[in-house]
Amino acid sequence: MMLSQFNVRLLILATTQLFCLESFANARYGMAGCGLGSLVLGHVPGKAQILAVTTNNIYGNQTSGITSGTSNCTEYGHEEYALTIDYINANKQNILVDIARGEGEALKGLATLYGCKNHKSFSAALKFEKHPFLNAKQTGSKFHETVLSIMQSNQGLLDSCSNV
Amino acid sequence: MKLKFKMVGLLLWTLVNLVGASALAQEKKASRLGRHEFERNYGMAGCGVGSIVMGKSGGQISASTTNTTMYNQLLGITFGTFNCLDEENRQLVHSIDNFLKWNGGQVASEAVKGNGEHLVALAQIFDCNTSVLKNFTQTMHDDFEEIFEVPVYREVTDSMIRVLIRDRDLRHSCSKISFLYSSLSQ
Repeated sequence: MMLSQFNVRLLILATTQLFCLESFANARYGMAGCGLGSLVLGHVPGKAQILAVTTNNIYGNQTSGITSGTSNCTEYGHEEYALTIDYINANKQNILVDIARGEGEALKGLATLYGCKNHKSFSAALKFEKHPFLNAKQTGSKFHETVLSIMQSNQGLLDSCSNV
Repeated sequence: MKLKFKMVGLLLWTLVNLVGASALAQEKKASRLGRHEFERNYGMAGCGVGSIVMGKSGGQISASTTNTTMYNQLLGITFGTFNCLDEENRQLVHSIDNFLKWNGGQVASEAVKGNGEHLVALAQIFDCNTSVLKNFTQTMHDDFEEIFEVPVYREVTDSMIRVLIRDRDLRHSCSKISFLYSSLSQ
């Protein structure tokens, strides 16, 4: 009885903490896996992961998280394209120059990030003339969305690019 | 009493299955990855016996259930077994994850060019001697496609380590890489 009361308290504690922490911790899971523990502790290394295990085990919240995709239990979640968007932000000018030329390392790098083995068909699909709405003023994520929509309307790229 | 017998039977059954399946999984893993290849082979359910059986992308619900059986996940994290990393390598992998989280785009764009200050910073996290800096950035450039094949921080960290650990000079001159290499070869 004492134990279950303690568990409830811990759960309440964890739930309140996760709301404060989640916003700035950019939480993901560590070795303990996802679950409430990962929301509280993220992937803080060291013995903190043991605490995360204990929290993840309370009331099977890890299992229900995996079933419903909550408590950090998404394989990549919203981070799926985060690195690609960062890359675009860091390299937009070079990418645009390369798109205009139809080739170049920055563009090849972008093709790799979208999982395109065939760089040439990727470059050809993005050719400047066809898509004047790709420009340097766009934010990285807008730019990414545009590229994505171009790729999605191109059956050849849809088939050959693994990350679309 | 009968119920107890059944429980013990079930437990034994699970254990036998676990041992068998884990041996099978280890064998499969060994044939796919070389002996010194690095990969965090656990998914959403975290490390533990469940991760050995189910791997990274297998059913994570059963992995989670198995990980909680007899506190094996807790033991794994404490002792660095069952796919759980030991303390020093855990720190390294965590730093790389975090560095990529904030600088991943810069790292990728510098790796495309083959030079840049973010790559230098990354080499410092790996504790690389300045003499191999050129080798480090060159490797990041040459193996860009392999490193960024799955452009998600966690995966990039794993494949980056896998690529760097292959280079003999880097293994000798980056203390974190050589430590990781030696713990993989055990």
